Amino acid sequence: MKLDLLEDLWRRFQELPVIERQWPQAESLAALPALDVFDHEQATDLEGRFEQVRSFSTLPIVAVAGGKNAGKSSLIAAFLSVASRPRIPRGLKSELGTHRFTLWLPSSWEQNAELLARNKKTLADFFGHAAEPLSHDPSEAIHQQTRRDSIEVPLIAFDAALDEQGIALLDCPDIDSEPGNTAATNARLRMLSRAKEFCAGVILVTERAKIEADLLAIIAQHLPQAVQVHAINFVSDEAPHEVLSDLVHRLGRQPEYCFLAFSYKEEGYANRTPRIDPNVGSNAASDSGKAPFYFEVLAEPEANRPDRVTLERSILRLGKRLDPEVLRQRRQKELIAELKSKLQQALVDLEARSDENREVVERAAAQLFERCKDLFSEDGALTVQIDLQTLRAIADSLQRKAPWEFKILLWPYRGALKLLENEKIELIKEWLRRKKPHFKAPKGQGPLTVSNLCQTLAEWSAGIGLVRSPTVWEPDAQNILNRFSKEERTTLAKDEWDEIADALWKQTPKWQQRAALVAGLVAGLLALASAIADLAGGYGLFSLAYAKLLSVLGITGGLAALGETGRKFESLLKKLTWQQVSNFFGISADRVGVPREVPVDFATQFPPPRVASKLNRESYGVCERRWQLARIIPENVAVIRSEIQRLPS
Amino acid sequence: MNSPTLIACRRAAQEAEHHALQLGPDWSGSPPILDECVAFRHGCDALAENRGLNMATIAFVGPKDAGKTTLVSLLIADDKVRAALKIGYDSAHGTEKPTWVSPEPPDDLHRGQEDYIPCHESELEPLGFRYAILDVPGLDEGEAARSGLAIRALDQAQVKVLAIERAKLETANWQTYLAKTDGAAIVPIITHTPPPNDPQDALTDYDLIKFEQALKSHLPTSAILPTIVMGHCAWAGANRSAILDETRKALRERLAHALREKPVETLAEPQLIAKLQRFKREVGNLAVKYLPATKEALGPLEAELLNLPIAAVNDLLGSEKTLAANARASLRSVLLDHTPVFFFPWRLSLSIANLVHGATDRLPLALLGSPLSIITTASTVAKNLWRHHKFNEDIQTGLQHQLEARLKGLFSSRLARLERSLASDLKLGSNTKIHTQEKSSVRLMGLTALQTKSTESFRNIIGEKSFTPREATLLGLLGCLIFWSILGQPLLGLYLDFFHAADEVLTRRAASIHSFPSDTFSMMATSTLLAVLPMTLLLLLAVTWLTRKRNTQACIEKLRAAHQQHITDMRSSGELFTELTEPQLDSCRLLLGFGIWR
Repeated sequence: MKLDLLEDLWRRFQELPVIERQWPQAESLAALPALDVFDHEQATDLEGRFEQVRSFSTLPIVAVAGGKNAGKSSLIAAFLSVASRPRIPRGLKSELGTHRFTLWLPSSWEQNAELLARNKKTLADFFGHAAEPLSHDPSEAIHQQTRRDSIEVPLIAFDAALDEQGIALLDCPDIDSEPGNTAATNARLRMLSRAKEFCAGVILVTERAKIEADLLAIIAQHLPQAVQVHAINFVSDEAPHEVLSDLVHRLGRQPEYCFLAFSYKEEGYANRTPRIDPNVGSNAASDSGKAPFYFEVLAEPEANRPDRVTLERSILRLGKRLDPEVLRQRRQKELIAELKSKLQQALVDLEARSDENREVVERAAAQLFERCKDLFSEDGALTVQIDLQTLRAIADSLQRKAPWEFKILLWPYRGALKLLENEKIELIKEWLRRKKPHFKAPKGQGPLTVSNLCQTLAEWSAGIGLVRSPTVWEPDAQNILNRFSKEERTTLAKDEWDEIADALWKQTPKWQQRAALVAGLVAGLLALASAIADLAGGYGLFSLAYAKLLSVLGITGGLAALGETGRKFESLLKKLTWQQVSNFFGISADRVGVPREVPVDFATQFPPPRVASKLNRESYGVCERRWQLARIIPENVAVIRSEIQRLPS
Repeated sequence: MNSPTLIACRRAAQEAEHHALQLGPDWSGSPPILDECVAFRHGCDALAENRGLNMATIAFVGPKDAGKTTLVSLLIADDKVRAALKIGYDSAHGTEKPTWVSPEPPDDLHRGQEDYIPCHESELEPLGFRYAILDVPGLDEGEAARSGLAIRALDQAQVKVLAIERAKLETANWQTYLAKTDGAAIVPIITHTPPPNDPQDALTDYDLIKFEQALKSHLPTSAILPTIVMGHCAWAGANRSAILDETRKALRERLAHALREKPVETLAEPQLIAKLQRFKREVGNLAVKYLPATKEALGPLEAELLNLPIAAVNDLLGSEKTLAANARASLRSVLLDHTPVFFFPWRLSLSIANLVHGATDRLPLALLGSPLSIITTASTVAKNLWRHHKFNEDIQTGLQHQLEARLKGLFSSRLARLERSLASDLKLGSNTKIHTQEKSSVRLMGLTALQTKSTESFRNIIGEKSFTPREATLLGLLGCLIFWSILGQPLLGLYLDFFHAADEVLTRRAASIHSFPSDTFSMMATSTLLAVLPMTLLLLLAVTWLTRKRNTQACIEKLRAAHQQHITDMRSSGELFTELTEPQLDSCRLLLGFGIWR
């Protein structure tokens, strides 16, 4: 087999860019790395397959598989020397069921160090565990094979009789002791499909009555198709060619090899089985030494008569009939055909997933934005996040624009806020915290807490298809709030605040009213400050509906009472809030791994985030969900497609 | 024929359908849930109606070639009928369709999918009652159509005979298959068993116990009859007819035990109940799969809803201290209630003591006319009265108000998020709002009943811990006796003097008004004081004993326990439940298993 074509194709697969990525970073990617981003497992599988084809040198190992108590171990035993047979657990008893993979190799392979090493490596590669030697002591060997807890550790054993038969056998455990008909649900089936990778052929052992059962088809699907040998066990009083025709009916094709063994415990066995069967005749073994005798069934009824079956048709001669080189070539061809279809599939997946992914990412971002917006709302209305800096800006403006008598009055109060802002002055905070009952703190919802954000993120992740519980989100939530409290510095320009403050003073011309305003102001702002300081464990964020902010500022009657100034004030506050929402979204998007641009539906209203972009590469979106915004480069995909087509099928 | 269980099953299917449809035609979860409902309804109807056969039905189930049809033939006495059965495993002989053997055909016999072998009652083995037999194809048939028929056949009979080969005891497929028929009576038969002397293959006790345990764990609510072990007929040295006879005998005995003297209508009951449970679980699983975000949002809310009544009760009952004070006051007022009115002045003293509780020290001063003491005592009286009134009111309606207020607070903050999650599960765009009513809210149903129970239990507990009417009467009697035995003497003397003087006037022996008693007020006051003092002492002793710490503590504990008990009871009986006014959200709750199926 010429592998140049394959090598070329593989290089293209690794190097020719087929995808243009815009997010998480702008770059172009070749098919394999792109696939690796979308589906790491699929990419690894492809690499493994390519490696397997390239360094292909299958051993003439034949797997022996079948349903529970179909007679797999008995068939293996028939191949082995008399000395080795007791090392195989046989029988229906629960404690004698085989639950491990055992590789039986000809003794001569044991001497060939290179071959042995290769075998062991192959086994270890596919099973993920180094093989364990099978004990020579029969009871210990049986114990090893009947252990239920170590199916992934294969066993390895040697037998001289296999030298003579020219065959290596892999004894597979049954798959029907565990529920599930797919590799994903059934661990045994999963192991079986791994064993498939290095076997050249398979002997499927079936009871006569189960030819039509679904199990056979399931097992056959997970094993190499190149060489399949059917061994039918427990045949009663029935003509062999009829059994064969039943099998043909079931398979929908002529099996390459079909062997059959009569049920030797049944009445009249001696008359049905071929004359050459060692179980019958004068020197027959005792009952416990008996093993089913398989012989090849031919479609011609007469050829299956007991006296017509020759030793050449015994299953024990199978090794002689399977030429290792033919086995190898057929298996390699099968592997290349499989790789070809997998490569085609990979391209299809790549196209589908880049489209699908864009949609998913956009939806995820939009939903995250909505949820961020929800965090800034109370009873349907947006709230503004007030921190100490904003408070001080408001207080400064009020003081600046105040008539002189109030300017003096407000002076110490402004100083107090300034002190409060200085984080080192814990004492003042402590005092405020203790004094808090004296000021009636405004009742804010304060939704920006870690637990609240965790819950929101959990709901968001569930809404886009992968549930992640609130506790898992905790580090992310902490990080987001931390960053937001440190980096969120949205405030209005000095003159914007001043304008409002000015209007406020003008609105209340009388001295008494002004005094009342100042009194309300001082009490309200101090209370608010203390409430913010009180969230010491939190992040100093306090959300407040506009009306509540107004009442804190001593304005009763809502915005309407302020007339034109009120509308101005409201629009300024909205501007502030929208920027805050965008910033919060930007920080969250960076952290959880979605693009930070404000989603299209909201972009007209909300400004772009104004915090630095710090995308977290280990985030849920980038790492776990493998989200990206990418575009396929169709011409390059077409090039690879045509090269795949050129591979032989 | 319509048993309450069947009606409950149908209603559950209807309800699940209603709620699935409520979530809109575009919700991806509704097709699977609707399918589940259809299958469940069919299954229940099939089970309950028993295909119109007014007799017990026995189905033979199990993997392919386990000997089901051979077992069926054991119950057929007539050779001709037996010959009609298909025994064997090759394509020509295996059972392809469910086959009925019964004296009358089942309703709606589907010729393409079912076979029917008519037979007279006398042609079946006599079990002591009429019965029909259903022979089912193997559960592991390669053809999907056939194995589908095998699954559907599970709903067709009240008793299942499970045939399984010795070699296949440990396979998993029969276990998953049979789990769908939990609740039905099961007769397990192990077939093709090698003789006990076979060194490798004989059935060990260990294997048998393991098998029976597996059965039990997959069919927790089924009545599982003792396992029948049947030998392998074809094996060398086997006595075929002996094996068959023995098995027939055992089978007849088990079936008779399972079915005799049980009315046909009740046979399907346990299976229906198990089916209903499984259906609810299944719907819940599907809902969780298709409403992940809603589930995530509802979970914490539901947890709080669950704790809500208890928390409200704790709020209402207040701190240990106030509760103890209130309990004491209530204990005293019960004592007052139980004291007959004519026990003067015992009852009067008792009611005054109740009023001025907490100001007893100032009472003598107040009585002596100290204005300040009068004022403070009066204010204590007012405070006591008000507190008692408030507590009584709380006991009457407080729980309800508390719960409603808490509910509102809890729900309003989460509603937006819940709606957002539902919208994302229903894949609605950001601008389409789910069709909420003006304002969703949550209602706790059964509050009035809870309130009534709470009030009642409060009364009962206080009544129980206070003096009984008889004790109160005796106590009153004793108090009055003390009082009157002391005050009675000067009073009697006074009256005697008065009548003596009157007699003198009437008989004109003397006409002076001076012989009438006069200036006796101070004497009477002294006597009254002397009489009141020991009575008050008794009163104090009695009240102190009544409101002793141990007693009030016991009251409080009982009170808390009683409330907890009411809440748990009412919740489990479905009297106390929360309901969301927004129908879509309420549907989600129910599908996700948070609500209560009606």
